[in-house]
Amino acid sequence: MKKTSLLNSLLLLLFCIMLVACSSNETQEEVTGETEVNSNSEDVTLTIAVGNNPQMPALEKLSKEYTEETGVKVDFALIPENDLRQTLTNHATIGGGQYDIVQIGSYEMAFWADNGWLEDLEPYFEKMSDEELAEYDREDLLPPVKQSLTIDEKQYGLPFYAEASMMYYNTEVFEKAGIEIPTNPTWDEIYEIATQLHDPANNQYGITMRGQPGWGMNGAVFGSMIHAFGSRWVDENWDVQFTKDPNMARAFEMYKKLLVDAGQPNIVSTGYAEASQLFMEGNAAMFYDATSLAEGFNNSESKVYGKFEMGLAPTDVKIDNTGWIWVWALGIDPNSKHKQEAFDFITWATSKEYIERVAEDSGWGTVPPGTRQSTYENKDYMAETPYASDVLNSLNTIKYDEPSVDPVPYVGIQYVGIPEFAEFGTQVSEYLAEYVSGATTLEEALEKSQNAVETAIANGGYK
Amino acid sequence: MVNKGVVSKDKTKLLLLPGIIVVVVTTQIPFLMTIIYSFLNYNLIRPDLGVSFAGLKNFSRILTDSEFYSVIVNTFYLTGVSLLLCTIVGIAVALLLDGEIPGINFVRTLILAPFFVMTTVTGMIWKTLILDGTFGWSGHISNVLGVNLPDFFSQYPLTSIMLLIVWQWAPFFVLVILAGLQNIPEEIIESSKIDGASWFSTVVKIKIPMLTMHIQVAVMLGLIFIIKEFGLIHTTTAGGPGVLSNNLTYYVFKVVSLGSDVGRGAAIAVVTVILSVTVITLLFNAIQKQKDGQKL
Repeated sequence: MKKTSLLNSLLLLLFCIMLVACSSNETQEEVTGETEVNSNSEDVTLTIAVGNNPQMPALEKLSKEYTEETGVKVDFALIPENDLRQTLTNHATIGGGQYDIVQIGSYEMAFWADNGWLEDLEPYFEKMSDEELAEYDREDLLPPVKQSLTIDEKQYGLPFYAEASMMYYNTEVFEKAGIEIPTNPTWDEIYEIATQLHDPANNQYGITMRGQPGWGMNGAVFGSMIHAFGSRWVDENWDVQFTKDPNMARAFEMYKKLLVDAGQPNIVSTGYAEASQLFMEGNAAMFYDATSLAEGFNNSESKVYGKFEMGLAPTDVKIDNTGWIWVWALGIDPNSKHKQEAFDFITWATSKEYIERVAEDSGWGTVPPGTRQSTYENKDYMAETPYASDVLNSLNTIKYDEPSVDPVPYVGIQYVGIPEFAEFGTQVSEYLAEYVSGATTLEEALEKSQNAVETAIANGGYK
Repeated sequence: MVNKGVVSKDKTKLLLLPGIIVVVVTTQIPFLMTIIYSFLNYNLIRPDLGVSFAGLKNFSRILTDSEFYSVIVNTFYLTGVSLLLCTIVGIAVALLLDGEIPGINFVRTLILAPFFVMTTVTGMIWKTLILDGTFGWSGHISNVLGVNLPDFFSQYPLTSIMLLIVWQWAPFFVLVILAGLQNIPEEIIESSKIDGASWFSTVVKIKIPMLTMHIQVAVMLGLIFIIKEFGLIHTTTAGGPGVLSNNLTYYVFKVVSLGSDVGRGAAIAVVTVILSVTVITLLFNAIQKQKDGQKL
């Protein structure tokens, strides 16, 4: 019997270690952070936390030139993009200080500034000389991009690159079928074309879209569809709309029938990587996703090189551009000990000069897109990226703060700009995937979504 | 007369103190903290709401959530059926490998290989390279044969994950059970042959009963690790569609990671500890009873 209780205690301890790991890792990282910052009392070394997305290795490489010019060293912490959000949130909640500069998305921007986790950049711009201001040229930043980083007329981040969502068309498939590529189509028209072009026996799918659950996965596609169909997550009084607005049900139905009748197989395990691979291999006639993926299709290794076009996101009740906008920005931690140096670095990394330097280094096709008007006025860039004017048109016509035709109390198109969205957005994306897989009915999916969002809104004290 | 070489019992207990202190500091204090957190309103991403006493709110929110119960059912179903399949496959393959076959050591090494592959890698390989209808082998084979394959992770998420667990864990069962088989004295098997026992009755009536201890060890260790499976779920279905393939570990991860809700995450952790310890204690007691019965 003694042995039994000893083993029981050991097992209990084993589980305790496993379960409390989540709450204890913050403290460990805080300690590491202090060591890094304190060790640089004389020479300035900036620590920058960025995602491991394709633009970042170029920034890391070129930052060595910045160090040579200014003497300010820059240490890069490359964090997997999926972990970046949680890692930075953990640091911010315990007072920050480890990173001087953080890469932040437009979703977090909406509430990080309110939480005091980002430095207001306006005082630093005020300190700049006229010459420096003219050189940086804030007016050159695309208005919707700049707007998504501005709260109460104060800018909290500088845009590193930005994307909209658009519909990609495989021109070869359309030509073979004798179908014209539509301009400003509705989702119904897209469905009709997709079913006509769908030929799964020959590995040819009418359309491919993200189906994997996650607010940044199928949730991004579906979030923009909710607004396109004239619906909204909540009304102006924070009343949740899933079971109350018939347009919401229409959006659910369209998403499902499009993928089930004319989409890729393995719907719920397809993320943006799998979907873009399908389009790149020429297996999909259409692909609704982010403009930043175009760079991958526009090279000679892609089977759709020179054989694709891009058009605005499909519409329904909302007839303006229904695409989403996403900005990756660089912001400053308010607890950084080198805020001015951090500001100088992020203005360099988001300047016209930096974009030109990337072009010199690896070609205009690889420069960070979507942030500056001047990029789209550059002849070399426009020559290398035939889709650039469509992207610019899309970015410039997105209304980030008016996502729906009806008034809403939130900002964001593919997300709701409140902290609780990461959880309830993911829950809704799971119910959507469950509905698509046939495990639940439309009514059940709407009911579950309604309950999840209502609980989050109530617990967050919004209503 | 006192023996000078023997330390008194009280002093022996003192020697345990450093060990007890280390264990308490590294495990029990964090666990106590988790219990304290579970009674708080504490959301990391809402510093404006502050930290306040929540009473039983976190627990009532979990216990009134129907999803939580489906997650518990998923967890026990996934673990229970996986263990059963692992045991059956483990016994079958171990019996096949328990013989004088040329190159047997090489075959044993090959069979063990899946156990050493990381769960995240296993998930990615099966999802993309094997079961994917477009890029995977199954897609190519089904195209050649002209057969329509189901969408495994959408239509059968829990079963697909279960099969991956069995693929990964059955080799461990094979290893442990094979060790047991090789420990059975040759004389016993030979006597059974002399008595005219068939291969089947030798396996059922002699080998399997003698393997009970080894099977129990494999099941206990398998239970401890499979009940907290995370990597396979994260890389293949992300718990979906819906919560169809969520287990308790993945559920806690989602609440803490996506919601940054420390209070609710801690409450789920406490409930999970209670449930897991109860199940493991019941199982262990059952094994102990069986052992006591055998001794009698």
